[in-house]
Amino acid sequence: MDCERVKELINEYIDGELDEDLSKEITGHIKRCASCRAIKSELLDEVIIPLRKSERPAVPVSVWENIKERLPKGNTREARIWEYRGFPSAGFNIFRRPAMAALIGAAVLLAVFVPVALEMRSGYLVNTFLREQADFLSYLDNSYAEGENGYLMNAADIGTDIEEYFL
Amino acid sequence: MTRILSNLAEGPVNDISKGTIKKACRGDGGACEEIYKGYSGLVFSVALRITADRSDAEEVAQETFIKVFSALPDFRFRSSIKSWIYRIAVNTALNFMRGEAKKRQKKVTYDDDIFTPQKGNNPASGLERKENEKAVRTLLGRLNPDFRACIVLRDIEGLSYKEISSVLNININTVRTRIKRARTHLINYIREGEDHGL
Repeated sequence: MDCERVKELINEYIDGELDEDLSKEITGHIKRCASCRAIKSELLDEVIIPLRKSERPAVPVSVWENIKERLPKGNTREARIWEYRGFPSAGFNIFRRPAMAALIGAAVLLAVFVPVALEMRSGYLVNTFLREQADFLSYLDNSYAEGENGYLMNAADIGTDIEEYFL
Repeated sequence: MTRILSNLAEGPVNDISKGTIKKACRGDGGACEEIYKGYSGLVFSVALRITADRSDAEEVAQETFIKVFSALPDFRFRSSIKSWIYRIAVNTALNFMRGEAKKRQKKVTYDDDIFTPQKGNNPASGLERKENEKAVRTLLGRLNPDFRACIVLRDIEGLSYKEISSVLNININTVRTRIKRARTHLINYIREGEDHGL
């Protein structure tokens, strides 16, 4: 293995990311080669070791305090069904409750079906009126067909029948 | 949800038990706090190393945990919860750097007083620690956020290349390249005081 190849792989070698055979080969080369040994030492001493020695910073107490305030209540998938994330939370929380959602749903259903029911009812009145008109015309036809003394006599009957109908 | 909860039936997930995760999924405050205590150190450390600003790091840490608790019911255990939290923390920090910090035209500079080490985890003397932190700040300040994230995960957090690839959702060869380029850049900077930007 030559120096260029060692330089190419030196980072992975230090990080233990090479397979055993390749790693042994580089170890052997570094023992023999002062230049590659210096490169490895420089990398470790100047960059890697200072970073590895650095300590974790203390977490400020305020971080958890702020998180607690923002934690969702009942953080389950079922609970989240009722949430609409686009809603600003203040003043709209009432819409996230299942009971309120059911109530709103019922109100929507009523708002849709009541006018439909009224429409159906008015349709019934129209149909009743048309049926009565049809019965009346049918009555006139039958009365004309059954007459024995001609049109005028029947015409006189019509007037009487109309008056009787409306009475 | 039933399937997710059945996955949590037994056994620990790293140092946080599946029972704790199950409770946190149901919004149990105590369980959420346990998860926070388990991972807040690494989240805040990553956030602080990437943003280089204490108040930005606090914001990133808060956003990270809000995302963690919100997405916990969707966690599928394809990776460890630690890797998953690392991923959320790093992505939140990188997005913060790309977004908010950019809006503010903020230059990344590491102040001397941003690092207060955790208590009881300080084997080095005060002077040695300060000197080392100064060196770390100098080194990280020379890298752009993407390269910095790779170096932080590898050299400070000790993740393998494969884990970094999973956390950053990038190819492992990209991880190799970034680490190599970042370290070469830092060595050149130390040798010659050159900083051509990375």
